[in-house]
Amino acid sequence: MRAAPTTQHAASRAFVLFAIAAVVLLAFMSQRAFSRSQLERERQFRALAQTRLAQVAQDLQTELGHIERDLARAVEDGAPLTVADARKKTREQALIRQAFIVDRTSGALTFPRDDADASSQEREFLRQTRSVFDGSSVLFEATAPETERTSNKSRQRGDTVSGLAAHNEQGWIRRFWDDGQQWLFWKNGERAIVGAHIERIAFLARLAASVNESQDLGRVILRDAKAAVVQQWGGLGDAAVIDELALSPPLDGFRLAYVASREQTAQLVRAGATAEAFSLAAVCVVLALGAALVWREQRRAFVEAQTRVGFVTQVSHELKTPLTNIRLYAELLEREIDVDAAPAQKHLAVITSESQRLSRLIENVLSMSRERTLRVEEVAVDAVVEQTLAQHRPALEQRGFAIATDLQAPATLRTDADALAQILANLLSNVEKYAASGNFVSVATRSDDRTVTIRVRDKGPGVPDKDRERIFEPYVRLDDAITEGASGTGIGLGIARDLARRLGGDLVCVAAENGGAELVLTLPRRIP
Amino acid sequence: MIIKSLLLLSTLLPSAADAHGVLKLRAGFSNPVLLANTAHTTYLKIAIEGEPIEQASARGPINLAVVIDRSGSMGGDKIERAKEAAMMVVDRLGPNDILSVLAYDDSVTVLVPATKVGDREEIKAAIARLYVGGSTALFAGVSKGISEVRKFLDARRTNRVILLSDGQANVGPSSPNELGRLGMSAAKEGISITTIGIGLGYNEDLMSQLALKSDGNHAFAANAADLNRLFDSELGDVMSVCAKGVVVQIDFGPGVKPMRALNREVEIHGRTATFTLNQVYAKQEKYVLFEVAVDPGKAGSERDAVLATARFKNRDGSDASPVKVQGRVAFTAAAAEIDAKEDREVQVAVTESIAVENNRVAIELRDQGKLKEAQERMEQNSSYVDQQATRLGSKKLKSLGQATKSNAANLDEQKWNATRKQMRKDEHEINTQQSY
Repeated sequence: MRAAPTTQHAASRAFVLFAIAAVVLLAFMSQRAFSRSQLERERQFRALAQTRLAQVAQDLQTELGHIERDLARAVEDGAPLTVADARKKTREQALIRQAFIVDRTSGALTFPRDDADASSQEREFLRQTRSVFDGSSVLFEATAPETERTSNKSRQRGDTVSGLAAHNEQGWIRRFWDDGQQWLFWKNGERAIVGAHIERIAFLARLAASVNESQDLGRVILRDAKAAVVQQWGGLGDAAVIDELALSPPLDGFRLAYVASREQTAQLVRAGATAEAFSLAAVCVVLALGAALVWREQRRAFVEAQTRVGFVTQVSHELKTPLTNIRLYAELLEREIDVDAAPAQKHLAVITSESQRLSRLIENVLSMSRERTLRVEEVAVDAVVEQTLAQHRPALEQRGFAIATDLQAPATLRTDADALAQILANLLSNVEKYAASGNFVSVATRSDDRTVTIRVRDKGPGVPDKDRERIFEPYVRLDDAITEGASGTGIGLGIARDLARRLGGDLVCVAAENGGAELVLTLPRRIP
Repeated sequence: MIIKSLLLLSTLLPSAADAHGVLKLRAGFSNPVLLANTAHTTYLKIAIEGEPIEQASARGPINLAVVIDRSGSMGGDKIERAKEAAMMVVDRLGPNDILSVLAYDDSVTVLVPATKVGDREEIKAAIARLYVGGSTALFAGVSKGISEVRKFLDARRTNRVILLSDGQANVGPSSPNELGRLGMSAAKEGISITTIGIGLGYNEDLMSQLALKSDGNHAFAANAADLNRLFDSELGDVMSVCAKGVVVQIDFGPGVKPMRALNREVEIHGRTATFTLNQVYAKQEKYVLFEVAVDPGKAGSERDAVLATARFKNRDGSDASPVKVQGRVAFTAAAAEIDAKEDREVQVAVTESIAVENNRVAIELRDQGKLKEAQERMEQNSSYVDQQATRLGSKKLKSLGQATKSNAANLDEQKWNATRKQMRKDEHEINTQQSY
């Protein structure tokens, strides 16, 4: 009888161990997945930075295209350009700081000229650009007109502006002076090359304003060739560089950087980590909860099974006693039958009574294990009471019980006769077992329009107030002082009450006069 | 202003006024009569004045960008007043006007993209949402402001950016020279930038250069409560524009040569000078002062010294017929006649410009830490201006002399910042004849 619980215990222990192992494994795998996803996130963040930088670079390139178009339009007039025209351009064109004209054939700068007529600005321009126009420095980087830009990205070298113009329609020349990188833009005309010293700051302002602010996490910073910030878009300050992009001519030397504050990056990673940690924790909790539930269920089943096993042991024991009696009396009968017929009859009655008891016990066990279907019919209450009492009378009388009856119930009641008999039998059996000290039992029946009441009273030790309900719980037997020497399954009263309730009535225990216990069965005249 | 104009009218040569049209152009020499047989350096004032607009309702539509500094230092009263001022602008604009509102700190944000002033409440709600924080990307703010105005760039509109700042530009290009060039470029597109400094933290050199080169106004609100008044004055100017894209070409006659311009950026090619004004406001006079070299002339002779031509567009963007004016000089042997014919109004303007130049040198000295030299320079300047004030009987010069003197006493460490801002503001006001 001890092997089964141990096995069960081992099984549930094994299961819990398995659950713990699963959690550990899960945690380990999650940790690995987490570090992988952190790398993945960082990679994604860099990819995001690259995309944004490429987008800003594209915006700048597009605006550069517009600027080139505007400049090309601004410097070309169709008609031969006069000095007055060139000065007008200088005066009126927002992107032109100083216009200039180069003769295509001679390559000489024809405007502005260092003469008495030159304005101070023109003189300054000549001073600053001497190396560009006197052929003393190598010029390069002409760009094709905007439309051909994509197909023709060739960089051309030339010694002079006219040299460049021999191979290209328009182009940029870059130099450093004054406030930083300076640009000259030129375009081939009919007779002359017309160009302009670009108004650097206005050029940068147009580029800067062409990129729209985005709600990006990071910040894009545009730096010039001297690494000074020109403009920045979005994000917060104090940041680490995620990625950089060098711009192409004529903005070479300029760089775009994508930066995000350490805090923000950390936050992003943390946010991901938190989410993952949460889901991991959730899985663990669910698993642990499952394990706990299974463990509890196992425990309960184990305890229940233990009780059942005890019960079965007890029932087996119970079954043994009547059977022994039957055997004993049967043997006696065998020896005495031909000596005198009267004792033989008495012994036979005992056999009958014991076998009835055995069947009652079995009946109770069956009531425990399955729900019986009620068979409702017209039942004569008093007759059933008398019949049941008659069955118990020999056993009771043998134990010295005085039996009193007071039966005043009407002829019939619509109920299940067998169930009623079983209830009564359990009550009487209860008295027999636990109230032997009182040597008295009385059974009274009463009825009114609606109900029938049956009272079974004894003069035994009684039931303390606190236990009045507990006695109906299965397997409960009150303390040894009361139950000493009595054997029982502890299920009789519980089954009796269950049956009473199924019949639409109830069974309660009340304090009887002069001590003792009184069990009151109430049944409706009709089962509702 | 009116008194000044009347005074000018009475002192200028008879041929100086063009009776019809929206502009008056005047040319006046400080000494229209010069001593014969001597080479002279004298001064020429070319003044341009907008005629009054008859109907207030007839003003041209406005294309305005309000660019607000929202760096951390703008917190509290300043940003609230700035919002109030911007909302006041919303109220004063009409349904045909275009407004954009931008704010900049580390970068620039367009609060209200350039749009016709339709739903005022919506625009105000966008302004109300403005909060502060970050540094001062002034370049970004101006660039984007210009680009918003550029969206609706139209000769029929008065195109303007109002830039508000209380701090040193610390993100992006920020030298006064560079920002001045940006202003000049904006002016070529017909966009003027008015700069308003708040408190004592802004960069007055940068702000005044930006305004000067773009033909905008420059003002200084010592405390935030002044903002509303300044915005109001600015709108008053913007709404009274009567001519745009004004290009004044001045051709000097034989024996007369422009040496330099005193108060404005002027392009000089030999004997031709050109200057541009983005706009001329009604009832406001704008002028350029030239230092002119005059070759000796015979007593009793006259010389056609100058022909000024103003080409411009009317308020509605249409081309106006050019306005011209001639100026002459005469030569005499009588010294008394020279003094009698002296143009006091021109002399006052010249004195102001010279005083401003002296003060500018004083600022440079003070910037180099040469407090004493700066002070001496300003005190000398003050007595020069006082002397001229007495000689010319000018109240304006008298107060300029006094202001210079009191400024000279406020060059020490605690007061210098405020003094410097005031001096830059005065310099701008005198050089550009700003109305407020």
